[in-house]
Amino acid sequence: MRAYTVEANRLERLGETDAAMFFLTHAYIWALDGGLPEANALHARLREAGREV
Amino acid sequence: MTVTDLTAVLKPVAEARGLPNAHYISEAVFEQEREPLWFQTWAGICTASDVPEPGDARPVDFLGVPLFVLRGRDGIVRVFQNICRHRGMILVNEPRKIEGAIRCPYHSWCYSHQGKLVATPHVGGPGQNTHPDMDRDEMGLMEVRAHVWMDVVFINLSGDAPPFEDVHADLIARWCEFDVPLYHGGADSTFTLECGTNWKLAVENYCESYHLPWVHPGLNSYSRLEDHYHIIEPGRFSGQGTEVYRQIEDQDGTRFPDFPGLSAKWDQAGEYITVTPNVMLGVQRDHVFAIVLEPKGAGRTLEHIHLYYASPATPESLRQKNAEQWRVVFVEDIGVVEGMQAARGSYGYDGGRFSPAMDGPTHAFHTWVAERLSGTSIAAE
Repeated sequence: MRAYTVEANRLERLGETDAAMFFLTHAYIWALDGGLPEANALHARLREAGREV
Repeated sequence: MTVTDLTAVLKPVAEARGLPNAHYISEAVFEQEREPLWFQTWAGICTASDVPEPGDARPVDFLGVPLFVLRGRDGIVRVFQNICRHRGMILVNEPRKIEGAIRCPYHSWCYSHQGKLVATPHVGGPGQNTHPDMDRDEMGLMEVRAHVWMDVVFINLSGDAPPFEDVHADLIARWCEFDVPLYHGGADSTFTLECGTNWKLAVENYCESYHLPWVHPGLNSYSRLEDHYHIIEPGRFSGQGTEVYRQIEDQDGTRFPDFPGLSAKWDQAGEYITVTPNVMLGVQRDHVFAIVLEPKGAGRTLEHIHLYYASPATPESLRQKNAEQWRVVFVEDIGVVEGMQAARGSYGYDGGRFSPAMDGPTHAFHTWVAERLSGTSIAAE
């Protein structure tokens, strides 16, 4: 989960939004899968970017 | 479709014949039974103790229908069809802990413990997790109607049976004194027996006391045939009871504690009832047991046995002794139910006869089967 988040952050800084959201989605799904508290923050980021509801 | 004439089965006990051979050996009839006997009734699939902690999940093969049982984070035991609403992938293929979401291993669609679809990754394209045509509210898991009683998880797959509490009101009232905490004895108090028999023969044997002195000779020293009585509730349940239940003791005379608040009836009574179609229950002052039958075809059945006590802390050695004592009894029964199954291949057997004095509970079960297969019972509902 953390590796996906790191990669998403790096791509987002480079302005590669779609690629960043791909990795952020994976981070979110694995956080959901594990019942991790980070899921809420990841969901909020995706939602803010218009990628989640 | 295989059609058998059940007219003779529906006659009064003194005249009736038993179910024809095909109802025990034919896979086609086994298939025919699924809807009226299993899907449209309340059938047992496992026990709540099989999923003791929040997040515990286990798959169940319910006559070919894949289900899974999950104890949610809210502590509630739910049953779902074991299929993702996306491409129909199996979701839970072995007993496991689901810490977070129920994630489909195929495309990672995720569901909450309540079955709500909460994530659809990349459904609108890479990194786009929504799509205007994909309404998550319409694609939650298919939950199966479930009811837990005596720790057994009962389901009504068709969803249209009367409520469990109504169907089994008489039995719930009869055994209301056992509506107390039941503590599963743990790993040493559960075992599974495999029987080369049709599930109905296991039920039929369980319902009657006629065989006890012959098949379980160990009982004869303290439990005579005349100490038993029939229990018959047409269309609901049948079984038998004893008036001379004797508590098991350890070497030093230690016994299990009694369930609290029992009336004097239960000082020496024990009752053994089949909740149709497939849950065989036994209650006594100091322990109860549940046997959930899992049919694996016309001629093969698994018996999942669970023992419960009045206290969460009972002596291990006594629990083991009790489990072994019941195992011996149930294995003795396997000999006769497998023998009856083997004989059902006979040519021209007419279903046999029922002793009007001794086989009433068995006849009641045959009547239940015949009525449901012929539609008369379902029409009445």
